[in-house]
Amino acid sequence: MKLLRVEIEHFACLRQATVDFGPGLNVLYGPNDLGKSTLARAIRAVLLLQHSSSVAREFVEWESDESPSVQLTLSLPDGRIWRIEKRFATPGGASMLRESADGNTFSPFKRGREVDDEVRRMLGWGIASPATKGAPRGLPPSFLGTVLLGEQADVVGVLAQTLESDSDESGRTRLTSALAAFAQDPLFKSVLEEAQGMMDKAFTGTGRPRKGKTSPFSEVSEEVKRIEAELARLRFKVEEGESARRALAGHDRALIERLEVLEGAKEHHEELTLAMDQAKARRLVAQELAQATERLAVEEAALRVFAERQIALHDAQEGIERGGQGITKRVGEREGFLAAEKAAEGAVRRAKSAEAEQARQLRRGELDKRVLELKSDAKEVDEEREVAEKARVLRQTLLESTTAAAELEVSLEEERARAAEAAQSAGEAEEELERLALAALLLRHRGAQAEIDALDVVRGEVEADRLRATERRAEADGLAAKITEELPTRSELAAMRKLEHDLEVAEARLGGGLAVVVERLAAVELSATADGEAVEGLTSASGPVSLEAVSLEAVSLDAVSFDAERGFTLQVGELARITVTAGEREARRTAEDLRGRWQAEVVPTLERLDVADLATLDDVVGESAELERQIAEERKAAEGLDERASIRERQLDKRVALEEELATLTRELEGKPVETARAILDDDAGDDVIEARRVALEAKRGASLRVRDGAEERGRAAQMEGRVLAERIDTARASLEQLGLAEPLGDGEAGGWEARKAELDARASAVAAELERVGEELRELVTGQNDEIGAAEAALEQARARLAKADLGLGEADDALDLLKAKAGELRGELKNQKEQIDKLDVEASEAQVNEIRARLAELPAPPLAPTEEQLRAAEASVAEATAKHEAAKAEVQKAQGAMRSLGGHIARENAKTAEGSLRIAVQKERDVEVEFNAWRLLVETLREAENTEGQHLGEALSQPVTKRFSELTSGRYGKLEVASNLGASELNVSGVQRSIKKLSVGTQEQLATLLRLTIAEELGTTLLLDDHLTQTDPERSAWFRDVLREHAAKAQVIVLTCRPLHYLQQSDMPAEDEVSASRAAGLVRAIDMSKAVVRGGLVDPAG
Amino acid sequence: MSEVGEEEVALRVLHTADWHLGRKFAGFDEADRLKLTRARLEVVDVILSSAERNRVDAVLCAGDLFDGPKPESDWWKGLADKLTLRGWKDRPVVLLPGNHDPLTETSVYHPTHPFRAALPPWVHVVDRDDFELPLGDDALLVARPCRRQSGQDDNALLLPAREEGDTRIRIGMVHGSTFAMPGLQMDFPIAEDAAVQRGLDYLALGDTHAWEVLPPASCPAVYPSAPEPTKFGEGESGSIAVVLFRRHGRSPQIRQERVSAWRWRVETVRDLESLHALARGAELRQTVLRLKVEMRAVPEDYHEVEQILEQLKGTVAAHGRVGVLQVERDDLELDTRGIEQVFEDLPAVVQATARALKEREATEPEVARRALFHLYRLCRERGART
Repeated sequence: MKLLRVEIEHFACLRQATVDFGPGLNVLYGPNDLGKSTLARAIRAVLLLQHSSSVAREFVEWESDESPSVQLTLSLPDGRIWRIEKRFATPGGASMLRESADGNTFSPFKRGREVDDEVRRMLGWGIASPATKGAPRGLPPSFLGTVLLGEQADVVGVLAQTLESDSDESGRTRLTSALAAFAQDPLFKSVLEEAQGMMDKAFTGTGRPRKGKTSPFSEVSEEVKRIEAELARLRFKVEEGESARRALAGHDRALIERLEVLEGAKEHHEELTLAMDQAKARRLVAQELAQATERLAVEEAALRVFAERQIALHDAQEGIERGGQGITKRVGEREGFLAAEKAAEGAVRRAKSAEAEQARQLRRGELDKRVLELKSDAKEVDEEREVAEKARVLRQTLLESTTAAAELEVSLEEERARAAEAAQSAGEAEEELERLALAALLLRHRGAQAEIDALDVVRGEVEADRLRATERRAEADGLAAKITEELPTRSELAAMRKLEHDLEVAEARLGGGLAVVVERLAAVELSATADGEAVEGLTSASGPVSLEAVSLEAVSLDAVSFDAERGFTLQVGELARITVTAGEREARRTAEDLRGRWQAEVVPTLERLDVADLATLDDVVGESAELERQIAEERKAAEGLDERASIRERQLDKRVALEEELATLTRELEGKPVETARAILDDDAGDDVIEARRVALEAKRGASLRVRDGAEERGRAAQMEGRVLAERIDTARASLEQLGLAEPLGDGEAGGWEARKAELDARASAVAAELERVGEELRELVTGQNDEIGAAEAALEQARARLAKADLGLGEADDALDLLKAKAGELRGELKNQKEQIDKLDVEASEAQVNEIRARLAELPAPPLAPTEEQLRAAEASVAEATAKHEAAKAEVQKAQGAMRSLGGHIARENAKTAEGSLRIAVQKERDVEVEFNAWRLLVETLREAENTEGQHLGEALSQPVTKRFSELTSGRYGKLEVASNLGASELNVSGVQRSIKKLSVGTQEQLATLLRLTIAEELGTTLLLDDHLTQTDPERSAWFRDVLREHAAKAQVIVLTCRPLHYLQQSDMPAEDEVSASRAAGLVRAIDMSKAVVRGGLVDPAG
Repeated sequence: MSEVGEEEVALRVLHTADWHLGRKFAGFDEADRLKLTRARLEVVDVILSSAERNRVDAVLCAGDLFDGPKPESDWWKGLADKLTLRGWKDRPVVLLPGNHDPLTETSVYHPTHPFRAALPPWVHVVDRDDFELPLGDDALLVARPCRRQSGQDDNALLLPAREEGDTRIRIGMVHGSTFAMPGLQMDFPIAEDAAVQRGLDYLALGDTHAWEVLPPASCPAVYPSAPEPTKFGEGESGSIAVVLFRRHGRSPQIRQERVSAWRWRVETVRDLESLHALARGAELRQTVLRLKVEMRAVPEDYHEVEQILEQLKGTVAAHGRVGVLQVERDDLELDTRGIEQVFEDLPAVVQATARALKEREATEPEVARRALFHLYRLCRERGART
């Protein structure tokens, strides 16, 4: 990056400034308070600060309401030129990034917040995009920002700065990339170089694929595009050919179809014509046949009627004969029916006579008497059977009750034995429970005793803790006595350190280098101090002197010279004391103020505490802090011990209760058989075992008692039942006695009772059967009389019906016979008339004629259709239409064939297929190229990532060139500079010993810092801004730097802001009086008179 | 072909077709394209020399002599020059328009085209449908041109039939395909028995690029093949037919004569040994080789494969062993299993790079493997112990 131009308006003390930069060394010079540092701040702000940042409020020009604005034009290594424009205000601020190819015409590229995003990406200084979550606000800290645009007030800050403060990795990546060239492993470097070379063939510096003829992608990509276009053309041609072919095929098919339609129409017409002719011929013959057939049918019908009448006459004659025979048979049957009627009338009369009624009454009386006798017998038998059954039941009850009473007695005995056994078991359980209760008591006694013993131990521990707490408090008190009172606090110490630093800086700024030569003109005692240190040797009369405090170049008796950086004091005997202080007035005043403050604010403290310097004071404060920490620890430990003791003491409170409980238990145990209980406890039985055993015994005792109670209950129930049975036996015996039966019968008598019962049953059955028979006879006697009269009357009715039916049949037969006779007479007359006509007919001849006509008709072909005239006309019209369409289709085919003439057909398909193959190959090739170069890119990126991750040689890479230059500058006085991997510069090798950089003088630190910056800027090839960074450097080293900066200018741009231009330029480099700037050394050196380039505002910018 | 006495010979003809002058070979490198394109005209010299060597009475060129109907002038001028240089008088050369270079009003064969004017008088173009050319007293050539690039006419069946009593040798020449397959739409189909139907003794055909003789032997129909192959997988191509007709009406004798400079091959190698064998094998300078590499190789073998391919293909500085090489390496894959060990003696940053690339294999397998191979090769070329 190179800055081309900066334009500033209303920025802090600058009303307006425009500076054009050269490509190499730019020295912007002018007196103090001109706004040089403000210009540097403007550059920093336009590059790094968002226009809406609150920090920008500091930039508002005093005594003006205008918003500060800055425009910075710069170029990048890829040749692109950019202009960043910012107007800082909230609200009303604006940012714009413009791009230009020629540096004259700019076009907008980004606006607003996108500007900062793009600028930070372009810079690659390790500053995250403002859009990134957690991105720093205000002026973002960054290692490269500090290195390249470091502030005047923090010249040596770069030595303490590291990459750790960066908000993204771009700074590290950029540095690694730039520094890698001289840091990497040779193999790694070589591999990376080649891979980078291959990658560069295909990709630009920003990682985009190259375009144009030299790009490896272009050739293959163009080939693919070319073939794709060719293929598209061919496919179109194929499709066109196919369409034409399809069209032709379609026309061909249409032609064939239309030809088929035409032929079909013609055929149909012909068929119809033929069918019509055939149909006409057949119609004529068919008419002839119909007439002949009709004649034949008439003749045959006449013959058929004559024959039928002959048959009818024959049938009528047979009917007449059968009718006569039937009438004769019916007359015989009627006579039979008449005789039957008379017999039936006689039978009815007999059944209804008085003798028959008298016989029936007598028999009924006999039967009624017998029924009464039988019923009396049956009642007697029933009574006997009832008594016998009752006695049987009583005897059965008596037997069962006696048996049950005996069984009940046995059961009662068993229950009594069971109850006794259960009662014994319950007693045993009860005794065991008592022993267990005693054991539990004993156990509680033992527990209480053990708990009291444990509390005694706790009491001892509490006492020990209390003792240790007291000891540790005493220890803390002892340590507290060692702490020095009224030490400064940390913040006071930090303020003192800052004051010391400011004083060092202020005094360093006084340093301009003083060479003092003292010539003694008379014998007078001389003494001197240089930079506050005594100069030895001035009072010596002879001999060499050792003057270590200053760089003494020559010593003689009469002439002594020594150097001082900031000032010296020369005491001339009692005559005079000369005090010379270097530096500009303002600087001296600043230093003096600071010295005054030092004396007032720091020295009293140092003296009071009897320490030499702040470092020692720092140690004292540090030791004091350590003591305080130890005291706190001791006191905390003591509190912990006390707290633990208190907690334990609370446990001791329950000891009294325990002792009371123990006494109670002891009393309870007195006089108890504790030996048996001890035996239980000696089995290592604890509370839980005893409790388990107690529960089991309780259960056992309960079960036994329940068994006992159950047995007793059942015994009582059995006794009750026995009593009931005894009552039942007594009752049965009494009943039997009432019935007159003896005492219970033995088993042998049971058979007697059964036989008696059977006998009684048999008697009852016999009586019932006799009663049934007599009843039946009585019923028959009544119904028999009624049946006889009914049957006689029914037979009479039937005989009369048959006679009437026979009379009716006889009449009908007579009528039918008369009808038949009449019909036969009619038929005979008709037959006589027809016979004359039939004799005139020739049926055979008529049949022959019909057959002949039929044969002729059969020979004629039958038409498949029966067309009409209308159909025939329609067929003629179809033929005409089909002919026209066929002609039209032929014309279409010819036209399509003509269209095929210019089409590719198979060739196009073949070419398309070839092109497809070519495209496949070209696409593969394109892909291969992409894979190949993407692989190179991936390799480069991965190598760099790996290198970043490893990161171990980054510091090494930086330390080497810086050390080399620093060694040149200091004539090899210092060894290697140690730079950490995060680029923090920490140590320097001095005479073989690693020393902190902070131990160097301020001037040396600023020179080292400047070299570090130069080296980094040079490696990055980017602009370096030095804002009066070598104020503490002596003329000799300034001259060395001047040469180095000129060398640097050939490689990268550097902008120096200074009030001492001749530290950086030759006189001949300076512009003429009327010039703002002058370019020398082929434009590589440019001197710019700031007083002519800027217009200041009203007040002084404290920063510049 | 058995020896036939001169007195027995009635007629000798050279039958060729499908030169496809001006054909472009997309899919090849520019240099290879030129080689293959130029070869098409170079083989014409070989054909004409064969005609002289075989002392044929006529040269019959059965269509598709140009790749398109309107070739660039380099092609038609080049052909006309080569023909003119021969200076033949009694050996007619007959050029038949095929479907690639049909006879149209603007094509190279049209009587008004400068090509026609550049041709010597003994070169005939079949520019009429009733083209007839007596070949001496005893033979007659009948031919019919393609008049468009696509069509369904059978030009063979449209040739005039032998008239009764005509005993001359009748040769028919048309361009079209006898290759009939159901559903396959071909242009200018030719009935397989067209020669029999039209009473021909020989039917000279062009279109199919592979050698083919269709029966019957008494009146064969012949495709002489493209004298230089035009693509991979064309079958038996690269030849011409020298045909000898004997007196007494016996069947013609046909001899296939190879004329092509290039052979086209497709090879697939699946292991390093096969690739070595191919590289060490027969001379391949006149071969157009499509080489398919299908293998998975550890870095060392992969490196060797790359070297052999380079040796076959050639470099800017050296010719390759193969005349024209097309490599298909889709299925050539670097075997990265255990590749970490390959780098284990190298600097930590290189090892870290290898590890990172191996991890990238999961998302970008092809690119990551290629990058790993580059890393391997670069380290190896720098003497690192890989």
